[in-house]
Formats: sequence, structure tokens, C-alpha cells
Amino acid sequence: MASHKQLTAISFSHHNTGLDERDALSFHDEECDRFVSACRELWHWEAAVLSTCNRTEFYLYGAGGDEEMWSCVKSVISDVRALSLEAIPQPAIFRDDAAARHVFRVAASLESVALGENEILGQVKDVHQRILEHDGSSPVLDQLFQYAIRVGKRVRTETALCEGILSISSAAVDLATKIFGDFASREILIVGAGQTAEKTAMHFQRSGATQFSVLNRSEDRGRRVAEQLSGVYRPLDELVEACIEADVAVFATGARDHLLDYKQMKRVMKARQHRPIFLIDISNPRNIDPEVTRLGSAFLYNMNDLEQVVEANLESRREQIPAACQIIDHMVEEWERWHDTMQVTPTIASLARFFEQIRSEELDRQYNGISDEKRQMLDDFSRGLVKKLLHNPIMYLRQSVDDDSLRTEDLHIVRSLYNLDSIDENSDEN
Amino acid sequence: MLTLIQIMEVALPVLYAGIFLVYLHHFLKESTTSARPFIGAHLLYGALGLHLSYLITRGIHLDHIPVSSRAEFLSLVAFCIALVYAFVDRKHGEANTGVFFLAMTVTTQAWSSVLMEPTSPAQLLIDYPIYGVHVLFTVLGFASLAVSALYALMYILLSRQLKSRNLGAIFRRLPPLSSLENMSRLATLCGIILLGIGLATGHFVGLYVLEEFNFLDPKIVITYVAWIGYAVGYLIVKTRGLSGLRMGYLALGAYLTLIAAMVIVNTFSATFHSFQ
Repeated sequence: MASHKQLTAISFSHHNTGLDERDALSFHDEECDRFVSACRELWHWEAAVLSTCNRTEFYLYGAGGDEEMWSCVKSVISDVRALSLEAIPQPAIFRDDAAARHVFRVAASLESVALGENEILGQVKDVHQRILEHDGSSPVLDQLFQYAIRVGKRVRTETALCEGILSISSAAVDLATKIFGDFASREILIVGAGQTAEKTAMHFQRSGATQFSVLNRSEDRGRRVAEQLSGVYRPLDELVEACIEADVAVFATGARDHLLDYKQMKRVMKARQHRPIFLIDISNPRNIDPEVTRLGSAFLYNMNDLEQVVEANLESRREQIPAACQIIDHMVEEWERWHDTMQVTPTIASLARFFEQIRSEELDRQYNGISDEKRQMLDDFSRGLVKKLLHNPIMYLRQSVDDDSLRTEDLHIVRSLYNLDSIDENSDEN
Repeated sequence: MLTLIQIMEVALPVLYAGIFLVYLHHFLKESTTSARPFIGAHLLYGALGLHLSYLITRGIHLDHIPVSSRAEFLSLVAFCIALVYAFVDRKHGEANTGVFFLAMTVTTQAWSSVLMEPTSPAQLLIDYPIYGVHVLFTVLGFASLAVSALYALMYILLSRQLKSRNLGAIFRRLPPLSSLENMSRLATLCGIILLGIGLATGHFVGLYVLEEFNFLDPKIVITYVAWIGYAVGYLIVKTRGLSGLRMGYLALGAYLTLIAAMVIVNTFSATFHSFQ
């Protein structure tokens, strides 16, 4: 295996695998720990696993080429998930800066199925937490995921990539929020007790609504949904009265005609003294006469309107991609700088160790038969000499990282000149 | 002291302009989930402190409440608008509307600073400081009603966007309709109370200070009618729980009518209550 350590990301996601394959490759926490331990014990790699419903990704830092690493990882996946090697699909593999860029894009939710979703950042944070909790240090992956979390946060605070709602029922709740602010003291009327009505009602409940009325033709189903929402059931023929009391009315029934026409709504608005009401008609065909919009404080949105809102939000998010990419570019540069520093730090440490070893060996040879005073003098002299001899090479290495001129060959030359690799191996053995 | 006053006359519009830019940036920025707390409100409190110091320093220098010249009056208007907005913002925490009020404040204070003279003739104010108190509260009252009307305008704009399904920039930036309505109501209540105090002190000045005073002066009649209209309207709205677009139109219409009546009276009647 090549001695040069590299960052590698091996990715199975909705881009390159089907749902069944992703299900088969999904890792739970204990399997993640087994994978990480295997990689550490077998190849001394730093390892981390990000497994969500849409992706399973392996982040590794260690020595090895693309194919070598992939075949090693494949065998561990096969072992941990009890899959045959043939059943494991070909992943996307990213190396070095491309791997860093990939995890940054993941944290920014640019790689998510729903562009700009927020859940992924929490999942990236969980991976980082597991890196910190796992036995044995993983300094490079620790730093990588810290950078990724920073990217995720910056994208969410400096751009609008994660703003706007992408589901119909959430869009309805979002619009209602724009009218009423919050739902703590608002009456939500649900007309219909099917899945769509229930799902929308749940969205309102999660957003803080507590007062629900459910109107439905079938009393049993209506009562069941009302109970779920801790609300009250009312028969459908009380629709006008219920609308007078409600602040938000969600219509999701299978009725073939309008349940609420202009005249009825006019009566409703008069009775409620033109207090605003938000009417959400997500039925097909529509349950509310579109003429209702002529009434001042009645805000009516049907399925088409909500779909347009969702599409507009998605378009707004897409417009934010370049801004998010700029943040990622900047953070990849920062990562590169940190990683380069990381590359020279072990060499500088080995150099210092090598010179210190020579110094102490030479001192041991000279110590016989000389006074303590002279020993101290020799010790001080040798320390000063070593420090001065090391000053220029160390400064050169550090400077080359700072001004981005470090070449891998430079490190190899330094390590070869002083045979640092064998010294490191000896110190590891000791 | 005069040098200090002149420095503050330059500093105030510059400071308000800076704060306006902070609020504008807050209004225009893409993300609403900033990691840093918004500093605009703190800057505004600082600017209001400086403005109050300026008014007090100028008052001490001239030996009367500085409300006798047009420039002083404009500066007081700027101060009152910013003060009422800061109060409403503190109660509701909706900084996204600040840009509109700060724009009014910057314009009015800049105009004031340009017109400002080192001295202003005001024997009445020197002899009877209560007259200055009357002006102060009346201006605060009118400024509150202006703030209320501007919130009502925002309510109407947001309502129209929601109805037309044209969910553009205003939709994204403005607070919810219910917040705009509450802020408009709070500003109206402030206006009724402050204008009420202004009218009461004005009444006192008319009765006990001025030798000749006509309670049927058109401006006084209009102000009384407006105050009674606002007070009765507010009570009806509050007790009957009225709300919605019609209330927005009512608040805006009432203020526009009041201003139009004042302009007509100023143009066609005698110069009582005018500023030089």
C-alpha cells in the first residue's frame, strides 16, 4: 500500500444507486462503529460513516490508492452488512480536496434530494460527535467534519438556500403564518378526514395549533381524526357556522361540487365582521367557489396556487446555489491550507526527533569524566546548535504552507535525506 | 455650547442615515436566520439618546423648549417618529419594518439640520414653558398616528399580495398581517393618549396663558374632531373585536383625511400655529 495518506470519500447516494441498494447499504449506529473499528485495526485509517435515508458515505483518511481502498472498504461493508461482494454497487469515489468539497456540499444540502433541507446538517453533526466519542483519535476527520458543520451553518445563515417551503401542506402552513403569525389561539377547521386533510392538520399541529374542528360526512372517520388532533367533530351541515368561528379552514374532501359558494361565504364574512380567514382548498375537484376571493379579508388558496408557491420557493433556492458554492470554495481553500499544515507537521516533528536523538547520543559519549558544570555547558551548547540548524528547514516548510508553494517532493526529499520514515517506524515500535 | 450643538446637528442625520442602512441591509438580506443578533435597535436607542441630548442642550442654550422654528419643529418630528417606532418595535420585535420609519426620520432630520439657525425667536416659550410641552405632546401624538397609518399601509400591501398570489419581496420581508395590525393599533393608542395630553395642555395654554384665543380656530376644531374620531373608533374596534383589511383602510383613510384637512386649513386660513 502507498505510504502517502489521503482523504477519501466513498459515496452511495440517490445519484448513483437505487432505493433498494441504498436500503441494503444503510448503516445503523452499531454498524458504523464496527466499520470504523475494522478500518482502524486493519489498516490504521481514520474512518467515519454518514448514513441517512438517501445516502451512505464512508470518509477515510489513510494510505492507499482508489482501487485498493475501495476493495478494502467493500470487504468490510460485505462483512458488516452481510452482503455478497457482487451485491455492492460501484460507488462514487472522491479524493483529497474533492472529498472535502463533497462533504461540504452534503452539509450545505446541495447534494440532498430536497435542495436546502435542514435535516442533513444535524446528521453531519451526529457523525462528528461519533468521531469524537470513538476510541482512538481521528484528527483529520475531526477537523474535516468541523469544517463541514461550519459550511452548513454559514450556508444557512448567509444565503436563503434553506428558506421557503417545499411541500404543499407546509406551504399552506407557511402562508397561514404570514396572516396570523402563530396558531396558539387560532381555530383550525378541517373539512374532510382523508389522508390529505389529516396530513395538513398535523402540519398545523406541529406549528403550534391546538384548537381543531373536524367536519366530515362520515362521523366515525371525522371523530377519529378529531380525537387525534384533540379537537371536536362537527357534522358537515354546520359548515357555515364552523367557518364563522374558524381562522383557517382546510378543505380536502372528495365532494364533486362546491361545498362553500360565494353567497355562503359572504354571509360568513358578515357574521365574522370581516375578520381575516385563510381558506385552503386542496380538494380535486375544488370545494370552494373561486369567486370567494372577491371578499376582502378572505384569502383563498387552492392546489394550483400552493403548487406555484412551492415551485417559486424551489426556484428561489436554486438561485442561491452560486452563493452557497462560493462559501464552499472558500472553505475548501481553508481546508487545503489546514491540510497542508497537517502534512508538514509530522515531518517537522520527525526532524526535531531525529536531531534530538543525535544530540543526546553525542552527549552521552562526551559525558564520561567531565564535571557537572561542563555537562550543563555542553547541553546548553548542543540545544542551541540544534535549534539553529533546524530553524531554516522548519521555516521553509511552514512558509511554503503559508504561501501555498509546498510541493510533495520537498517533503519526500527532507524525509529521504534524514531517513525520517525509518526513524518514525522505530519510534512507533518503541 | 453652540459648537457642540452644531456638531450634533451634523451628526444626527449622519447617524440616522447609518442606522437606516443597517435596517435596509436587514430588510434586504436573503437569509432570515442570522447567527448574529440584530444591532439596529440598539443603535437606534443610542441615536435617540443623542437626539434627546441635542434637544435638551439646544433648549438650555436658547432658554426654551426648542419648538419655535420650522427647523426645530422638523427635528422634533424626526425624533418623535423614531421614538414611537422604537417603542412599537420593542413591544413586537419586528425589525423588518424599521427601514420605512428610519427613511422618514433621516429625511426630516436632514431637512431640519439644513434649515437650522443658531437662534430662534420664542418669547412665548421662554415665558410659558407649558406651551412647549403642548407642542411636544401634540407632535408625538401626530407622529404616533403617522406610524399607525404606515403600518396600516403595509397591512394593505401585504393583504393585496396575498390575495393576488404575487408573493414577492414585500411578502417575504414584512411581518405577518396580525403583527402589522397589532403594531398599527398600538401606535394608534399611543397617538390617542399623547395627542390627548397635547390637546389638554393646549387647552390650558389657551385658557390661562394667551390673552386672545379662539377655540373655534379650524386647526383646533379639526384636531379635536380627529382625536374624538380616533378615540371612539379605537374603542369600537377594540370592544367589537374588529379586524382585517377594512380596518387597514380605515386607519390609513383617517390619517390621510386628517392631513388633507390640515393642509387645506393651513393654506386657506390665518397663520395661527404656524412655524417660522
